[in-house]
This record gives sequence, C-alpha cells and structure tokens, in this order.
Amino acid sequence: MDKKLKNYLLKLGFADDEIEQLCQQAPGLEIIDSERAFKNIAIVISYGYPKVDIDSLIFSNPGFLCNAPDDLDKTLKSFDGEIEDLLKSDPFLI
Amino acid sequence: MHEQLKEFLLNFGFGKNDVAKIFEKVKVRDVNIIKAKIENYKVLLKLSDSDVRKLIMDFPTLLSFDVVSKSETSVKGKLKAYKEMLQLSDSEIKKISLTFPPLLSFDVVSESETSVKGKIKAYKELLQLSDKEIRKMIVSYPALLGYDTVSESETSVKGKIKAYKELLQLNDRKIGSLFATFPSLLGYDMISESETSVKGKIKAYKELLQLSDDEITKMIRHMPALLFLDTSSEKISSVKTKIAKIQQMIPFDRLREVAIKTPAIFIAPAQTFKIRFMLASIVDRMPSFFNSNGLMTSEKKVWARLCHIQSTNCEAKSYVYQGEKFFVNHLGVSSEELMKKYPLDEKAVKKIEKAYFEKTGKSMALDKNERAKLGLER
Repeated sequence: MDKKLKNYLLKLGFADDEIEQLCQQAPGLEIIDSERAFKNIAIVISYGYPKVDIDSLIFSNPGFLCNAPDDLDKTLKSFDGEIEDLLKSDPFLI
Repeated sequence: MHEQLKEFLLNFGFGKNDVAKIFEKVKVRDVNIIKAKIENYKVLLKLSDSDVRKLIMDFPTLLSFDVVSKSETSVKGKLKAYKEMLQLSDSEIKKISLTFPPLLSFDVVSESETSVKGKIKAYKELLQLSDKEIRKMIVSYPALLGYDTVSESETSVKGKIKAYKELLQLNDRKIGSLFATFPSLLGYDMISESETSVKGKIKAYKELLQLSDDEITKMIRHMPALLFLDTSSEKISSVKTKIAKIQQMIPFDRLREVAIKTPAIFIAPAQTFKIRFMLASIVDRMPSFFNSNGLMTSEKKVWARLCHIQSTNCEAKSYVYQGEKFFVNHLGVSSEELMKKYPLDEKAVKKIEKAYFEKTGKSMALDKNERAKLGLER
C-alpha cells in the first residue's frame, strides 16, 4: 500500500489488522496512488459528507477510495437527497 | 552472462531469492535484453522502480514476453486493446496491471470464449450488467479476467453464480448487482468448509450468533460485506472480538437480535463500541448505537454536540445524531467548531464514564486499546 495512504489510515485510528481487512475487501487499495484515494475523499466531503465521519465510511466501504474520481463525482451528482444520510444508511452506494 | 544479469538485478533492488525465482521462470540471460524489457515496462505502464519490481516478482514470466513490437500480441498491443475495449485511463491500466499482472499474458482480442473479449461478453450476459458496470468491476477486481467463464464446474464463474443464487436466494438482477458491488466475491472458495471459504464463514456466523439458515441468509443479503470479515481469529477486527465486545454491554439475546437487524454493526470498528454505547445511553438514544447512522457518526462529534446542547440548556438531545446540515441549520454551529471546543480527551472520557454510571447504575471503563483508539494514554 502507498505509504502516504497507510500513514493517513493509521492517523485516522485504524489498527494494522483493520488495514489488512480493508485491503481484503478492496484489493485495489494495495495498488492505488494515495492521490487517487485523497481525491475521492475530497469529492465525498465536497458533496456534504462530514469530514469527521470519513473513517467510518472508509471502514464500511473502502472500495470507494479506488474509484475513478470522475465516476465517483458523477455517481454522487446523480443522487437525490442528503449525501450524508444516503451514505450512512448505505455506504455501498458509491 | 549469468553473473552480469544477476548483478544487474541485485543492483536494481531485487533480493537474492527474487533473482533465483526470476532465473527459474525466465530463460533469457542477456542483461541488455532484460534491461530493455524492464525499461519498456516502466515507460509503457508509467511505473516506478519499486512498481516494476513488484510487477515482475508477481509474474516473472513477463520478462520473457515481447513487450513493445507492433504485433497485437505484444504487451504494448494488449495494453492498447485493453484501453480501447474497457475505455481505461493510463492510471487504470497501471492499476489493473499491478493488481493482476497475468492479464498481460492473456489473449485479449480474439473471438474465442476464453479470450478477454469472450470473458467480458460472458460476464455481461451472466450478470446482466451494462458496459459501464462491467468496466467498473474489472478495474476494481481485474482477477475476474483470469476466471473460467465457460465451464459449468463448481469453481467456474457459472458454478459460483449458481451457488450464490441458491445460498442467498437472489434472482438474476439482484445477483448482478451483488457482483457489481462486490466483484471479489467471485474469487471466494464456495466449495470447501475452510475458515476462509464462504461456507466456513457462514458456519462461523451461525455458531457465534446461534442463527438459523434463514437468519444468516437475510443478514448476508442485507450486508454482503460480512463475507469479507475474519470470523475465525481473535484479532481486533475479527467478528469474534466484536461479539465479545458487544456482549460486555448487552446480553447475548439482544446482541443476536441487533446483529440480524443491523449487520452493519460488524463492519464498524470494535474499539469504539464502548464509548459509542455509553454516549448513546447518556443521550437516551440507545437505538442510535444499533443503527448504521449511529455507527457511522464519530464519537468525538457526538460528544462535542452533546456538550454544546447541554451547555445551551436546549432540549435537543436528539439532534446529536442528526446530519450536519440539519444540525447547523437548527443550532447555528458546525460540529467541527464544537469538536475544537469540546475535545474527547481524558477528562471527557471520565465524565462519560461517570454519566453512564449515574444513568444506568452500571460501571463501564475503556480498556487500553479503546483508549489508544481515541488517542489517549493512561
């Protein structure tokens, strides 16, 4: 895993074996550049998902970090309603 | 020739065992040829030295391939075909190649059932998905291109789709959407009963939570990510640890009921269960601990909001778990501002433990790992 991304996850409070579990759920995490992951996090936050709750979203659905940022942006744009409520009730919408 | 190549590979950063593995798989011993191939992979896939080392160690045979000729069977030709067929960007090509290097050896464009083209067609038909959905699946889990989409054996894609359909009682449309979201489920062992197989995990959930077949089916249908979780070890993130943690707070029967209704509880971090539970009890919103909204709202935020509400004497404790927009609109202050004012520090944890005791008559204290998760030190 990209060192910057791993450090970010550790800083968010993830334990090593939790990071291992994230990689099992989203194998792309081992490969992607941290830039892509950070871009996707910034996109989700820009649509109103609270920055302070981002760790829970990553924990539930780490796969969104690997998405193509343009696709993620389009997906979020297509949603009706509050992004926070939608993603908290179903983190796998993205 | 042999020694020169060995020296070059060692200088490039490969370990001694790596070099032995490369020599076992690759017959070429001309250092200039190998140097050129490594350089070509770096340029074609925009790789760093460490990326190219990973690529080659995962699949050393790549060093025997025709990398840059104009033929459509060269790596360059295959990458061009992948790009066109799946509309991939350079970074996506890099990602799928590094995740699953054998795809650089596949027959990409022929019309055969076993070619990449044939497999993409098969996935579309079997899962009834659009080009866009198939593209997303392959980018997130490129190993799909290595699976058998032709035979009907138990280990083939057809066999696994059939097994998942039966296991989760899903129709064609729903099975497609399951794999569009979780393509790596197609890589799971559906036959054995080992701890990491689907059957093994289902068996573990059933035993740990005393579930019936219908109950476990319902839970996995609701939250397929349960199949990714470690159900056998005692690690922090394992289901066993989470069950043990939750049982410190609620009786087993209640836990069982919650797990069936809100399986998301198992994809939340175990080290924050206790503090979230105490906070929810203080707020009088116990169900919030057991729903996905409560599980996905930071405990630091809940604490800061609760402090603010208590300090303003407003009767809005229930706002603690509301979305940010709602909260700001009704109380005129953002959670981030409040978190600076009311940090979840040592003093705060003591207050929470005390308030929980006053409210319930039961004492509960965070352990070392739970405190570490909050960034506290005893």
